[in-house]
Amino acid sequence: MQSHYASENFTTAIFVNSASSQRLKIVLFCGILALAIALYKDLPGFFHTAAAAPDLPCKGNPQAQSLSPQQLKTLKKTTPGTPKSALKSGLPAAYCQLPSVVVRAGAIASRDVFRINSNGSTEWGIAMYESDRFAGFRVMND
Amino acid sequence: MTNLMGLTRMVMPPTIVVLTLTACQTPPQIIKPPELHQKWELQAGDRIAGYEVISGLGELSLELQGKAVYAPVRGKTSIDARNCVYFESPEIPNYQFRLCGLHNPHIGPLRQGEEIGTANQLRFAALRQHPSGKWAIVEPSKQILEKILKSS
Repeated sequence: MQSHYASENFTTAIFVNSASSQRLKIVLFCGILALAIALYKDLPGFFHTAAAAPDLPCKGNPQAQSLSPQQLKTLKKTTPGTPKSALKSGLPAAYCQLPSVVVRAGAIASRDVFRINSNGSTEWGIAMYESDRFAGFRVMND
Repeated sequence: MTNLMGLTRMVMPPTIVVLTLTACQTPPQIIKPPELHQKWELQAGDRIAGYEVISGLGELSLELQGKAVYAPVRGKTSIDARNCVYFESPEIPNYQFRLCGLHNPHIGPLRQGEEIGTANQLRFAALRQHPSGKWAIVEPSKQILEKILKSS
């Protein structure tokens, strides 16, 4: 008889433990999910340490070359108004082109995207030309 | 009573979290307006006979009637002491747009098509950086204005 009660208590304990364990699992799962969503929303770099391709509306076939540190320095120092042909002769082929845009009335701008490898990660820079003259350069995360 | 206390326990923590988060939000940093290349005698922000000049040469005024303006490409906004918002983007280097007259503008990073703010009368200027580092007011294209005035 005592054994029967003990068995019943044991079964009840397992049932109660199992129910609370299930609840704990659900709470843990929800917590981990909420943390993952928060990290994904606030820290994109946490999940994407190196960009394989730029998040840009590229057109044309992507080219493999990257800007060397010297070429990057040159682009950053180039004065707006420099002829595009003079600048491009010292640069590798652009990774891709962005659709042309007209920011200033009457000036159609073309844009080249360059890959920049720095410290094991990939960054992207955009050079803009208006009327075949250099108009400016910016690195995406600057 | 027990139910009321239980309810209080359930509601209070999120309320405290929300209040704490709200209290921790810092107001946007006020930037110094970019130095303009053009040296006109009267510029927006100047005072004449005790009145403030609210728009200057080169600014375009648009009657938006409370409608929104949007980021034409991905970029970020900042705000100056006159509550004028500056939008810039690495996708259009050496340009920035000045938007004055916005209500509750969003300051910080923006995706393309995201709302910058709403305005009754928007005063818009397109600025282009000169090699000297100063910014010149230039005539904006219809294409870029359409992108700013439409969400898609």
